[in-house]
Amino acid sequence: MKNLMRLLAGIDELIEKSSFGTPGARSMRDRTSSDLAEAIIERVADPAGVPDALVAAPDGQTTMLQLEGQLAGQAKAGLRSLTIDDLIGSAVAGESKAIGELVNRVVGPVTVYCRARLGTKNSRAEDLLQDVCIRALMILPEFTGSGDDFLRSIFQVAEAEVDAAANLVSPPRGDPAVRVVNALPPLDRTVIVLRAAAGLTSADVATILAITPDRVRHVQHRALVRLREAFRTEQNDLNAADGLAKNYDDNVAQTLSRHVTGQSQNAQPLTATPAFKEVVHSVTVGERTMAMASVSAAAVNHFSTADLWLDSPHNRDPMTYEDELLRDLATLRRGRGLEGEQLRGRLGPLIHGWCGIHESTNDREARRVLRDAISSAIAEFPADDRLAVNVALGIAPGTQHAALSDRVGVLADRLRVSERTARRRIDRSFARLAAEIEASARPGDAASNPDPGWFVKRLNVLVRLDTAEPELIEERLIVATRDGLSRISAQFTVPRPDEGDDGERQVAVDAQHGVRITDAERMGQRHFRWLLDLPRPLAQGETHTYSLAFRVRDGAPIRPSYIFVPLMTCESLSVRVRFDPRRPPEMVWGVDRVQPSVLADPSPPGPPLALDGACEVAQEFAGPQQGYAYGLRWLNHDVR
Amino acid sequence: MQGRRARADGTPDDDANAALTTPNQDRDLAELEADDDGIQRAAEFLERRRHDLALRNELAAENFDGPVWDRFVEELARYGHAVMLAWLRTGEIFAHCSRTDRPIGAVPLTWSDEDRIDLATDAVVSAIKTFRKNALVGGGWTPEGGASLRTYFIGACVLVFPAIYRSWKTQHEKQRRCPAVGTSSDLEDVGTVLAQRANEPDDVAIVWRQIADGLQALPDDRTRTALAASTMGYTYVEIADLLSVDTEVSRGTVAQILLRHRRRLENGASA
Repeated sequence: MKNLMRLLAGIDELIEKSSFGTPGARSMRDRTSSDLAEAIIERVADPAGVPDALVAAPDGQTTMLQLEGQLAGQAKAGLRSLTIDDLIGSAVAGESKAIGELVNRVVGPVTVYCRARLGTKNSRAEDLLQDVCIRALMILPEFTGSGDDFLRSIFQVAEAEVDAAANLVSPPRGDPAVRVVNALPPLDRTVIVLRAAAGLTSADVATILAITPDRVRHVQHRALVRLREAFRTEQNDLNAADGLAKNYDDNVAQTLSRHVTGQSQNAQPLTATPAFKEVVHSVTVGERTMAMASVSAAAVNHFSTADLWLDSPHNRDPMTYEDELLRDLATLRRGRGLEGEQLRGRLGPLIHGWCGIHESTNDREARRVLRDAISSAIAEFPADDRLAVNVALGIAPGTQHAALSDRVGVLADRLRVSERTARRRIDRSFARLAAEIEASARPGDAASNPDPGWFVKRLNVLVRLDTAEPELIEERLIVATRDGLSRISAQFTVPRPDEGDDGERQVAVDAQHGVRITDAERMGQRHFRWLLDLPRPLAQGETHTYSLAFRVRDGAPIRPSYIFVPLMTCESLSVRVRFDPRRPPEMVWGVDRVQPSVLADPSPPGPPLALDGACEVAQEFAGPQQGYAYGLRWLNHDVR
Repeated sequence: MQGRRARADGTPDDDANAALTTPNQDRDLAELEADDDGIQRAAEFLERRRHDLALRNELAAENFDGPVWDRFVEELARYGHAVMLAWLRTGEIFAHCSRTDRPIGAVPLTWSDEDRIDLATDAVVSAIKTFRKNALVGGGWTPEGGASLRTYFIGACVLVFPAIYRSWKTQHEKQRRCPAVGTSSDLEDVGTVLAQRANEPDDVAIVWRQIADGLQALPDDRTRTALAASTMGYTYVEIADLLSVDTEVSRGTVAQILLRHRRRLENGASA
């Protein structure tokens, strides 16, 4: 990508210095609208895009010349540029080149499919492939459907053949991986093999199976869960993965084994993933300190990370991803940029994904999140590029409510260049921004992976100090930001106490509703992690409520405060502390948007909050900002 | 530029200059400056030619394909379309076709600007393909050949235009005849439409004829194109570009052409 950017920058410079770069030529050039230019570019790229005029033209030499050009263009672009729909007509008519190309198109995915189902050791796979090709050629002359229909019927043939052959493979002696894959329900099996092994896109798989791409993604997720379970049952994860790696084509096996075992080289270590973001809060009572931090993270286990990998930007063609991003970003700079109305409606899906902005977020919040995300993405850019991005999006002071053409004028003035050059600078800086986002969205770069798959719309916290053991009840209304979110995890950390008590802490968690705790893990003396299974996979945009209760079981007192520091989007927060009527606090005050580092200092009490009749204090925080502390602190009578 | 022209005419730029120089000295200075200007432009022309070659080599390295080629195509599309449209509007393209021995008749009287935009688009699409095949891949353009890459490309636009124009013209005339053979209800519709703008085709034809006659009365093609383009709002530097097909024309030359024309008008009026 960087090479391409360099090449494009180089060509721009050459054009500028060539005979096309004279002031007159540049001025004329700018008279043609982008739409018109794009229409011409499209027609030039289209081998069939020669004007009709030429075909009908009675002008001998030129017409021949043009027709030659057309034919040469077609030969060069080749049949490869045609869709299966385009090919099928010629193939049915018996055109040998079209038949050859059609078979080529089908053979690749069918080969991978057969090998994934039967293993490469099985010579039956190769025979079967031939059978499928012969069947394809046989049905072709009388085929009347579309290209998609053809693809679908070939896969049905392949599937039936493979099913028959798979029954012949003796299960105990077959490859463990093949066995596991073949044990999946038919739809799951086909989807996972075509997606993970054959590398087809969701849309392609959807076409072949005549289902929607969304359904493909759901089934794929479910299949991965089942595969994982199957490997677990065999208690032989690694062996099975080895089996895959040894017996399959490298490409197929490595991809599939990474996916089914979650050992993706891109999977991030648990502690490094930024998905470990949400809340850090501490509850402390009395003289001795016990701070509790609870971190809930989405999809932090290896398996889910691998699952995420399937749909992650990394798994797409980076070029396409960047191009799409660039298009989304270009849409954003139109009109009044970020200050324009209906900002959310103008955000493309990739921008949504990048910033974790959800449909329910309002324009104001989306603007804030975007502004933050963009300014951190361009932080390392040269000053000119930073300015270009900020001006183009209407972020820079003085450009916030101006139309794009005016903003380009402002940039041209500030950089002391022509408007045309200013536009180019903007294009260049946006390409750079897209590349930056693409790079940061790769799962390998844990530090900037922005999409944990969900965010918190509402967090209700109840701290109960009127019970024998301090109890913390958190109820979250979460919103999935990707399809198929079925498992999340909760982290709970009790940091080292101030006064050197280094012992193990006892914290128990109880799922009150909405999730099932499937796994619990103690990670060191004070860190705990629970895997939470949602009742069903959530679709993107779907909301779900669940509640967890944490209890400190070791009888140690806690610090007199409840502090919440959102590290990922939390749209609203309500904190309620229920005191023991026999031991009411001397004073309670709120903590609202305070730097967490300041919390350790002896805090100056804010305006006191009154206890209500139930001996409770409640506080609402709308849109708590990431990285700042919110909550309640109190002073106990007996401490003085 | 303004100052130079003023002095060349013998009109002092300001009093101080007038006191220091005689008209003859002034003319010498102007010529020297013009020479300098000429040398400078020649140097720039050579430099641009050198970059034309580098550009072609860069495109060749990418096999005239892929994103780099697309980028260049955008440049060709934007520039080519603007020039062709200007030439279609001013009628210059007809003169060019005559000059290249492929005459296509007179400027039609019944075409709209939309027609001209379509024709320019078709011509540019076709020209880019020809240009790629003949000039770039086929090696038809060389820096030694005399023409810049840009001129060569515009040459391709002129070359492909007659075929595109004739086809359009056939189609256009067929469409104009079409209402006569329509069904009765079609005829009614057409009648209504014609009634609403009954005189328009004739008016348009007359106005165009007057303009064409006026333009034809001008001494040369260059003046005609410059005047028409200037009337249509093209800037001097753009007009210079439009005139720079066979030989390089500077902005100053355009100014002079138009000035000369204005003088002629004034003289004609006073005579």
